[in-house]
Amino acid sequence: MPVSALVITLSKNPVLREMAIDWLTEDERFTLGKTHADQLPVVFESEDLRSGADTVRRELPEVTGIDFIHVVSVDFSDLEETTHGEASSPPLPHVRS
Amino acid sequence: MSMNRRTFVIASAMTAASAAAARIAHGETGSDANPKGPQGISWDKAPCRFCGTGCHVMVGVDPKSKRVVSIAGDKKAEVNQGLCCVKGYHVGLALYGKDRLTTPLLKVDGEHVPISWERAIDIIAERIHAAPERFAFYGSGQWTIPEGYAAQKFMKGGLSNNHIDPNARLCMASAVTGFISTYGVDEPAGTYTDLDKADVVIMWGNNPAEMHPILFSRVLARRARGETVKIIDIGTRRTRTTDHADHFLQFEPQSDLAIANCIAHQLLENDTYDKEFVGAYCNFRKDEDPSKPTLKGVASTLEEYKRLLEPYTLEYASKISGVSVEDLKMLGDLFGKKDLRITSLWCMGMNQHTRGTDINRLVHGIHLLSGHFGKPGDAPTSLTGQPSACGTAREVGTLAHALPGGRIVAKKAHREQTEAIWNLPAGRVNPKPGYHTVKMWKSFSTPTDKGGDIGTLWVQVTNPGQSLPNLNELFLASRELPDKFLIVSDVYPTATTKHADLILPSAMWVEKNGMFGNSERRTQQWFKMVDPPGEARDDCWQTIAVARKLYDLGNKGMRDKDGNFLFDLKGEDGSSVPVWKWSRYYDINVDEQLFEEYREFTTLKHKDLAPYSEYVKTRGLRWPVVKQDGVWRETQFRFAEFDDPYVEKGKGIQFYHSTTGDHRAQIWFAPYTPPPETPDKDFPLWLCTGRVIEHWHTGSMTMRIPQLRRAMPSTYVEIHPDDARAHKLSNGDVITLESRRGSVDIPVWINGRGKPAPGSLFVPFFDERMLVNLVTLHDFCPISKEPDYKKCAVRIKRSSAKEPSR
Repeated sequence: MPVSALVITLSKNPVLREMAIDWLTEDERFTLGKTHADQLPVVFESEDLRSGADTVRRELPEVTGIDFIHVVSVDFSDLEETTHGEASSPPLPHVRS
Repeated sequence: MSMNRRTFVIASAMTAASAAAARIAHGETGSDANPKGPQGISWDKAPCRFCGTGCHVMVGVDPKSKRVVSIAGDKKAEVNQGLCCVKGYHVGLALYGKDRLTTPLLKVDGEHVPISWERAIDIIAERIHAAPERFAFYGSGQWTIPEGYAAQKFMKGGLSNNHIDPNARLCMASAVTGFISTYGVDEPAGTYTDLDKADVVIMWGNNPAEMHPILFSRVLARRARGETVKIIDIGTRRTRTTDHADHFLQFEPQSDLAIANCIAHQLLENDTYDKEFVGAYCNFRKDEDPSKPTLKGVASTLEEYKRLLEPYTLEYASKISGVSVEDLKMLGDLFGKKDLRITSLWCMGMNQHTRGTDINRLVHGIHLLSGHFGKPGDAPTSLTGQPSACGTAREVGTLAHALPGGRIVAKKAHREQTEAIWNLPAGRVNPKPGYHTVKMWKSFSTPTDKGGDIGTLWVQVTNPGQSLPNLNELFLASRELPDKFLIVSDVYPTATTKHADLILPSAMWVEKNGMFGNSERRTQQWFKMVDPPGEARDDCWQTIAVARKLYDLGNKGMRDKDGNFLFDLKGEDGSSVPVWKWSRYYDINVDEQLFEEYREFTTLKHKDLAPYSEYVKTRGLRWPVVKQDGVWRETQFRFAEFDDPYVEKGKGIQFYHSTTGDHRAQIWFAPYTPPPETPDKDFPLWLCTGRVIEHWHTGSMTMRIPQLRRAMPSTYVEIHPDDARAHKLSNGDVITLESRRGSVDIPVWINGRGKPAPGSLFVPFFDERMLVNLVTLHDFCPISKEPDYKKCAVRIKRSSAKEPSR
């Protein structure tokens, strides 16, 4: 499952802003961070790359109280999860005595 | 994946998002918020700096700090449709490693000491002026189009010196010779659109899931939408691509030649080849002496072709390749079905091959023989690894034998056309091809009194101290020769700058104007958005400044036939602008002027480019770009009447640059030829090298991006569990990997991301602390001169070192 790092620009209107936060909080795909001014850091887990992109490009912009979505990063590194279940980064070398 | 790993990924993502949120919030300006994005951030388009896919990103610049603070996938870009891979989303951070080079450095008594730009330019110009024929220029597929064009003009038009070659020689030269000898002109007929239309996608030694993830995601997205797309992975090791493949055909190194011949054999044997297509559009060709292959070969016939293919039965090919008879038959049957649309993809697996031209020709040949050509989704398509390997190395022609626009130095008419466009006196362009990459570095590493006739070598935009094969012989040997002077322009300290005599700090990516040309013939443009750090300057300026210094020193080559400077660029009022002075370089758009001059070269081979201003407006255009009804129109499918404006009406398919002059493509025969080195009792294992998704090539940029470095902190050697057991190795143990040429200590990774076959190893080359190219060999394809990084013989032993090589 791809993991995306997003920054969501919230509305300056407190009511609309709360509506957006409520909407995001209720959806378990999103993990919310600490807001910086109007900027809300969010981690977003999607089923696949395409559905993730659709959410970012189509679904989120329609949510009341969300002014802008900025994609910071998308982690592709666990695409192999469906078939391997293996570690996806190499082991650090260990020193043998 | 373990829960720990996933927790880490999520935590990393939150860290990145929080940092970005803080950055964006800090730069907030409120009332004059840019309507295109978050408050205060100005946005502009640029192609990604990394691979040859050519994704576009939107680059966000904070006007207060004047730094790139945000990257987003560009929704207007057809290539990536708003998506980016993990490298792309982090590309902005490549500018901000803490150790950017910011001042020229000269090696004095073994130490690099700061010097002025003026002195640095003087040193280079004086060395070249003293012995212009002993100078060589080594560039890359990361040169922008104008940078490569300036270097090309400087060398071939100014110094009458053809010793200029790009590192693209190491990655796609075999694709070039494959295309030219098949179609008479370089670069793919199809585009990425083929991936959206194909019923079957065959990866020939290719791992796009990691190397071209955005393209691979286009295929996976079709499956997600319910479309049927068969993916066939023909490779020597299991990769992330294999995970999504319907069929994985694991073959013995080098035996792809036998597999391709076996497919052709079946098409003929089963009478499923496309007689109409072959009869109308194809000739047959072979090498007169297969042990001495050439670019041109000799004419052959269908009957002879059949006879030459006779040995390549299912059983014989299976014996050589290790692929089952059933799987080989499956491939033959697929190509025999005319109602399917088949796209073949390849990259380094076929190109970095001592028979790279042959395997390229054979795959083209299968498509031509079966008629799987000329329809969307039905095409053989090579991918490139660098952002402008096509645009700069192949189209501008910064290869040692080439001139811009598909011309070659050996052809008198081409030299004359070049001299005319450059306004040079007749005879200025040297007819003798220069040294290709391996020969150039071999000469530089050979003592002068033993014939090493390259004495000064200038490297721009690449890292040969890590990426050349057989580093001891081709690179490090030169560093023991006091009269060999190495100049390196780069943005960070690298395995090359470490050994340089003179280092020039360069601007990178959106710190300068630029143009790239991607794998699908798409020419792209961007503007400078931020200043480079310290005294770092554009590579193109560096070339022009050295040219001007040579002009001042009286070098006649730096003048055209009217006595004007080779780079006499004009301002709006028509007066010359002294762009060799850094303070004046951005008074005009140097890129635009060089590009408009270069455009004149592009029509000969029907690679027509639009005016610079058209690329400013778009996310790239695929050549040939032809003005029709007042609009500049790009071309998706070459040689096909329905789309290519240069195909005559009623022709259907027309190979209008045919080497035989009859508008036909060539179907080549090439035999299976064993590799130059195979495992034996002393060196019993195969070694293959390559890349990983997190890092781009030698890692000089991506290893400085914390998110990417954390995700893949160091290189490793993949080993099969049986081999690990035999050597009593467990994960993380450090081994010495040794060949006849050198050795390196690397930790092992068993059952990791990739899964090599028993008896073979795989090592990514991104880590400068563990140089696997100390081990690789520099044998190359006799036609393309591209070395084989994919197979050599090695042995391993537990390292006596307590840590890997550093």
